[in-house]
Amino acid sequence: MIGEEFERLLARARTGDESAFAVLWRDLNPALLRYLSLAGESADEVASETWLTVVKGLADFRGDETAWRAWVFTTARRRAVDAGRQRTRSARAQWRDRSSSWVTPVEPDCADLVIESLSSAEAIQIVRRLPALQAEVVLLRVVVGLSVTEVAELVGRSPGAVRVAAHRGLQSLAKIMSEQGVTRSDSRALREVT
Amino acid sequence: MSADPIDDPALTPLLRALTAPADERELHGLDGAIRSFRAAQVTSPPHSSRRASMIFTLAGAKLGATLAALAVGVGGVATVAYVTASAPAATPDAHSSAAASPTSVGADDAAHAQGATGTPSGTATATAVGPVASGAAAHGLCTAWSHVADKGKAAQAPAFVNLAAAAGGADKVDAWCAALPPVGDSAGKPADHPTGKPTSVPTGKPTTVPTGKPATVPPTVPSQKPTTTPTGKPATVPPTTHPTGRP
Repeated sequence: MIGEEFERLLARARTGDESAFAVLWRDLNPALLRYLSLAGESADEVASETWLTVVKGLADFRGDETAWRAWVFTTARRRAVDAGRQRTRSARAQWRDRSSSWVTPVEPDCADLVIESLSSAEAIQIVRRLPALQAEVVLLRVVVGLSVTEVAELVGRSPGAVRVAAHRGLQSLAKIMSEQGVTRSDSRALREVT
Repeated sequence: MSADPIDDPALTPLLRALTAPADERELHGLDGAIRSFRAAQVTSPPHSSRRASMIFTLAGAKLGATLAALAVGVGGVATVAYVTASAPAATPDAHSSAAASPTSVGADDAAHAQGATGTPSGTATATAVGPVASGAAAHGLCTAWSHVADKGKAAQAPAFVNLAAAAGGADKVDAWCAALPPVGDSAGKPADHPTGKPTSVPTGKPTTVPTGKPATVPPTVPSQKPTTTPTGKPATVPPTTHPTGRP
């Protein structure tokens, strides 16, 4: 989050100040890429499409930093859904079965992660083991810092559904992490024995 | 629900990694983003102002078209009034009795009033007279008529009513106009003074006001206007456009 400076930076960016825009971009792009990584590949591509849309609408945007984040990520989600449709269309896959989600979960297969030095990319891989909605809600709440109401609006669910998804998602993640921890101590114990 | 799972210590490393500061790879796209930003500065002005200017253009177009039609009418009146004043004997009584001198004064006032404020009040008196289509104003009226898109509506304007009357019906106006003799050869009119004067007077006034606008406005806008404008505009424009008040 940028904080107090945000309003001034936004005003400057709106008048074409590139350095002000760069600050806004640097603040948000990492979270944007992490969020878009839920779909697997093409996060960079979707992120630049998102910014393309954002800069075009910048002059019309009104609101504080929270509204700004919500707007950027709403834009990102739309671009991600578009990209997801294109992906599934080209693969002639079962888009209908996947409902309207663009998030693609992965099978648990990361036993070799070193928990203490987890990279953000590895962390995203762990989140992707969750059901799509839970994964998305957890990232929007934890990484992007949006409120339940904002997330609910963004994903098109009720605030109650978002709360439940966040709760269950975090519970599952805690479980995964504990198991990961056990695996790690087991292997260390094994190494000590040999 | 139980205690907030986010407080579970098992999650700490994961949350730390998820919210870690940006790494290099995540900042690579800045150049591209700046390029997009720069391009957007050039190509997209604020939407609101674009929308506003569009409304303004439409309003201006309609107003401009109205003014142009009025100016032709007013110019015609002024011309006829001038002819009347200089050659009273040759002009029909019918319209000289309709106020020759007040018209020439009022026409100027109306033209100024239109230019400045666009209020219809001044023109109501001027258009009530209407130019005599069979006179020197015929060319101006025919020119105006050829540029009017919504002929059904325009035909109700006094100036065009006179034109239609002279032509023997609204549907014969085009043919009648086509058959007009060239400018400066007004049949039946006193050949001496009118040829000199009508050309000097009408060209002065109408060209300043109408020529600019009718040329640009009618071809592009009128066909779309009836469908696009009615919803947005009534709140702001109708008072100045007076489409209903004039006839």
